[in-house]
Amino acid sequence: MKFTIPKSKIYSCVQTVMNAVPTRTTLPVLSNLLLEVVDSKLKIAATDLDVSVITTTPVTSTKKEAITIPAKTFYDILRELPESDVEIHVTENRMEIKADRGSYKLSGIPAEEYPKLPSVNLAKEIKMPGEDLVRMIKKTIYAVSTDETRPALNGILWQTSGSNMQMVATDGHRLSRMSLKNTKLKGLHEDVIIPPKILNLLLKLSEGEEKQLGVIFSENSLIFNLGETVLISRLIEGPYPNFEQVIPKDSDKKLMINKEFLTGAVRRMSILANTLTHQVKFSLKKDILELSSINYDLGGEAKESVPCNYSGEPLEIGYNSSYVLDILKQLEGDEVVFELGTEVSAGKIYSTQKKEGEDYLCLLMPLRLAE
Amino acid sequence: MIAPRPMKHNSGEIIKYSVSPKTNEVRFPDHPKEPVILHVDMDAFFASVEQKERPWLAGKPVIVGGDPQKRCGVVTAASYAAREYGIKAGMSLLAARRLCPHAVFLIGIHGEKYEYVSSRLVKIFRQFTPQVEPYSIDEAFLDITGCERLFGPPMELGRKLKEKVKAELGLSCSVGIAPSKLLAKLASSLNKPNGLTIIPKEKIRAILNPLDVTELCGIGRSTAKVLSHLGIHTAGELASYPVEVLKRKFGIVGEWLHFMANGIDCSPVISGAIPDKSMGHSRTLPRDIDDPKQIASILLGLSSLVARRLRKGGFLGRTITLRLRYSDFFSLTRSETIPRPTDSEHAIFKVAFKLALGLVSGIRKIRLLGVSVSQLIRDEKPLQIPLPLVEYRDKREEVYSVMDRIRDKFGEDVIRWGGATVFG
Repeated sequence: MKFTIPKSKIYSCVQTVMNAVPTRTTLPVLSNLLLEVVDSKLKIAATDLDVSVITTTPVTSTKKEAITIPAKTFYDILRELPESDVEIHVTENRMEIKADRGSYKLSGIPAEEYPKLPSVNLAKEIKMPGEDLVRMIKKTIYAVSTDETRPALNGILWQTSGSNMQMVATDGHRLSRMSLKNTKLKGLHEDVIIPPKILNLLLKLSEGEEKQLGVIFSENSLIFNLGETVLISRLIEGPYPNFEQVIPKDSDKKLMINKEFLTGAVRRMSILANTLTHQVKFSLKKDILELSSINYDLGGEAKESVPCNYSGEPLEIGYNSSYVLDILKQLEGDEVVFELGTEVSAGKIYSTQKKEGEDYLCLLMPLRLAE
Repeated sequence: MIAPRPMKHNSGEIIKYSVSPKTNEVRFPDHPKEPVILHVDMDAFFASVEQKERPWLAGKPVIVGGDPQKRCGVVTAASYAAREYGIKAGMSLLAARRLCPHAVFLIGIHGEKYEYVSSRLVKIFRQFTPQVEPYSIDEAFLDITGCERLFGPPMELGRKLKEKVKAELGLSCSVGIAPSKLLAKLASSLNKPNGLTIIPKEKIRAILNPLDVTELCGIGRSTAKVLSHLGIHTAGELASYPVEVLKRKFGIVGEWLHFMANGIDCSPVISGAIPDKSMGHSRTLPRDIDDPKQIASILLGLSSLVARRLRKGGFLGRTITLRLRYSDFFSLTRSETIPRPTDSEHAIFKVAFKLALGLVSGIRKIRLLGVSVSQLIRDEKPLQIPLPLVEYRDKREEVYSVMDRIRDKFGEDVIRWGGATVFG
């Protein structure tokens, strides 16, 4: 294997795949990157067996050859090299990197020892607007559970049905659902639960790009094709719990409030809230929302009244302030609505401002008020 | 002067204190520096309760024990008259009968009666101080620091307490008073029965030193054996033994032995119920078995008992332990920890049965099976209410609560899961 490539090019490829290199692993070869030349293309790959990242870039070498080399060391060398062309030369499991003034050699592990990466069947690829996908992920990913005893909740549920699709995430205390209508997909019916790692990678790598991206649904993995870079992830086994059932149907207690006012007030309440529960109390009376929090350890108490639009029965309800802030951060527009039931049932939270063809909904369960 | 912040005691109670402006010394108005701890130990508790109920048994050798028909015939308690014949708790009923054939044997008696008397005792103790730590069914620690103004000096309080127990329940107890829990427990054991012993600070060494190590709380036969190999027989010898050597020999326990022999114990009296560390049930089987079906039936029955107790006490547990004794009396335990704490008999059974299957051998049959659950936590309603997602709800939970209600009303053995052995 012998080829010459601009340093910036190979550095950015390595930077991309580094995201999949596991920090701790029982399989030492996973700390390496796989470099493979096939048909004048250099393929660099990394995997932690759950998520794999593969980038391809054209090179002049034609001979089919492969090697794995320590990822961190290779990355560190490339990072420190000055901007110019570098020559990579591999013989007998040793790699030599020749730059302007010097040469750097390091040993690798034979490519045969690297786990086989899932194959990418481009024939089954479906193109969709990257923008839509990124938006759906951003709006839902905050609610993904990290509780390993409920594996189905450790990912985002992505449902496609005809030209509609939606993403749902919940950690059992709050739920976010983003639905899109009239997407350009037609006739696709898939229900998959995607681990957040690949989605975070997708957010990171597609930043600012608003182009089409390819998606391949396969048996137990999901593939995103970004052009030069391909992301592959295993899927989480279902079934996903029936979330539709927990979305309250109708409510007689509707609170409409300015988002900025509420956000500011909840932030201030959270400073003096109990450090474990982060509890802030919402006391609703006609057209007035009273917020309060107490922290006995600090001897702290906070209280604030925010004007709002409310005409239901008076209600006192407790929430985890950081959960409330997480949701308010995601909602667009100036005005938000809380549809409430009782002090122990789910609240439906959404923005009054809606984008065409889009439906975004958050559910939040209350905290039991201690007293 | 800085405004004092409330400080929390182990019991959850808020302790007020002030800081002296002159000396910067912290003062606890309710907690002077020298603690006074009182330990109450009932005299031959089970036997005394039975004697009180049947006055004609007073003064006679009375033995309370398990049911030999069910092959679990050991002495659980013996009255003082019976102890004179050398009868001790834990010996087989057969041996007890041989030692004292004319004793009154009360066999297979339910524990609920004793639990009731025990709860009445705690109520009496609480009339003296709110700081009561029930230590077992017939023992308790009381923190009586600063009670002088209410009840007089500690000795006087001890006497009043004994009188009250005698008057209200007709039972006698032994009381020990000392600066720490360790020493108070020791003091109560020095003059049994019906004793009242105080160990003042200056006499600690003199009282401790000549004691045999086995008289110290927590030193059993096996520890004593290892100690005797080191040439340690009395608490005094243990106290002066180099702590490093003890640590090497016993690990962390070595240090604890050293402190104990020196009368050092800073553990506070924690008021409230006895914190349960584990809950379990075991049974010697009517005959030896090795058929997995029968094992399953026994284990489901035992798991039901354990789960019922967990739910009654409001606990969830994570570690499930299987105890097994083969027909040749070789015993084993195996445990497994599950990810989510449970109080479901089926979750407990699943693990216990899996563990048991790994221990069934074609050669030896099984004589005893036991299931216990540890790593207990309180099943408190979480402050954060969960979304009622279906995947989360165990349908059996509803059945459990119905079964529990039926048992509360009509008795423990009126309902059982199909295939489960019922234990009376």
